[in-house]
Amino acid sequence: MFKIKKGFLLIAVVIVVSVFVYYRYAVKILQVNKSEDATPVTDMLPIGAKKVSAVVKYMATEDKEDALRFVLTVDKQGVITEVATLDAKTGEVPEKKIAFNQQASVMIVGKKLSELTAIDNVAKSSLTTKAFNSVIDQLKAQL
Amino acid sequence: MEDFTFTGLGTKWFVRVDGKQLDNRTQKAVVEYVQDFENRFSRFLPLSEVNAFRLSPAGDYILSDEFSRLLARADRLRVLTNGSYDPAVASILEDVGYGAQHGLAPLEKTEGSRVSQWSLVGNKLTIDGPMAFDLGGIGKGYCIDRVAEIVKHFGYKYYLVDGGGDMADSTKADGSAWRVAVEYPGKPDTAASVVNLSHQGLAVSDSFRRRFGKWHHLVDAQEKKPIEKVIGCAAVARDAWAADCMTSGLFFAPLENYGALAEEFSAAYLVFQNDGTAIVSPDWQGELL
Repeated sequence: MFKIKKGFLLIAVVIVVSVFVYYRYAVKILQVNKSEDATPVTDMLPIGAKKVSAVVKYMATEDKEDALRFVLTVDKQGVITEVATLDAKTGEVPEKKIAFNQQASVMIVGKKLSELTAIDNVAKSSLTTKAFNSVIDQLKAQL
Repeated sequence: MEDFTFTGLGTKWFVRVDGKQLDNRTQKAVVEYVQDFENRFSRFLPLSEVNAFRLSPAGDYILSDEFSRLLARADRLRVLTNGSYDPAVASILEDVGYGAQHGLAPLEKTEGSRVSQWSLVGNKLTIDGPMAFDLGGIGKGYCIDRVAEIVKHFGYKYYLVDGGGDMADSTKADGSAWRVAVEYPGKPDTAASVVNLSHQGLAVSDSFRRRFGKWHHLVDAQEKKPIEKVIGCAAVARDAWAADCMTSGLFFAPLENYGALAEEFSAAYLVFQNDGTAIVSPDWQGELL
């Protein structure tokens, strides 16, 4: 009898905690939809998951305002599963935002120039001052 | 075809025209332009335009069209790097020993150094007191494009102009691109990438070359310290000036500004970081080695 009560108690605690987490976090996220610029998104989503979005305006440069729409996908537990950035006016992903989001971090080993064929020129940093050329040995000694 | 080589802006240049030799008249025009550019915009020449305000009180001054054009671009780069790139950094460079006297001894006395305040509207420059400008990081690319224009003006369609390792080009006579290796920063015998360049500009910059003590020439105007997180970068853009500006931007801007920089200069880029990794923009067309 005591064991059964303990089981019910455990389930009750789980339910209470789940409800608390839902209202504390998921509802808070969904409240973004109530803002002026918010737009509900109606793509096909897993059961219980939702998308919310909001527009953010910011000064991209000193004299140019930019507006982006951030779209969040939240699963039924209220966990953010995806974030997308769209141009607020067109709804498209800005080309350069794609570039920034997708820029890759890689290791480049390099290859000896002597092993390359059919090269017309080599792009390199230059020593652009005569001053530097004149003290190159002195500089090497400090490296 | 034989390269026409000469020295300008303290570095070696060459102009290559596919299937032809550059005639004497064009050679003369090219050398004269580069010499004139150096006389006007070198920080190391006391009578240059960038040194014209060393003794000037605060106030408004009218600049030449070309200086205004260069400073307007520098101003744009200052915005895109959140103020870290600033041509007014000349004073700090001189305080740490990279000055007109060519001593290059690392003095390391940045305490008390200040970056002068300036603004530009059209041709009108406003300064808050005596100052000098350093157009390093944007000047040479501009000059390369002007040389390319001169070569084109004299009737050469298929060319490659190289100014100390940065370049602008059209195509080869058969319409194919020039094939260019991108040097690995700090490894002069190694290539990091090979790109096919056609009607574009390419610039490469690193912090290994112009180094003195623990300093080098790329100084953050906000922090008053040399940049250390990026050790080198390369950019392919619509012309050499845009590529040159892009590499400067990549050195000075925070990572989150790279997208805005790429948009501004229509540039693809490679950035070599101090942890051994490299950032590659998705539109980088070159082969990575």
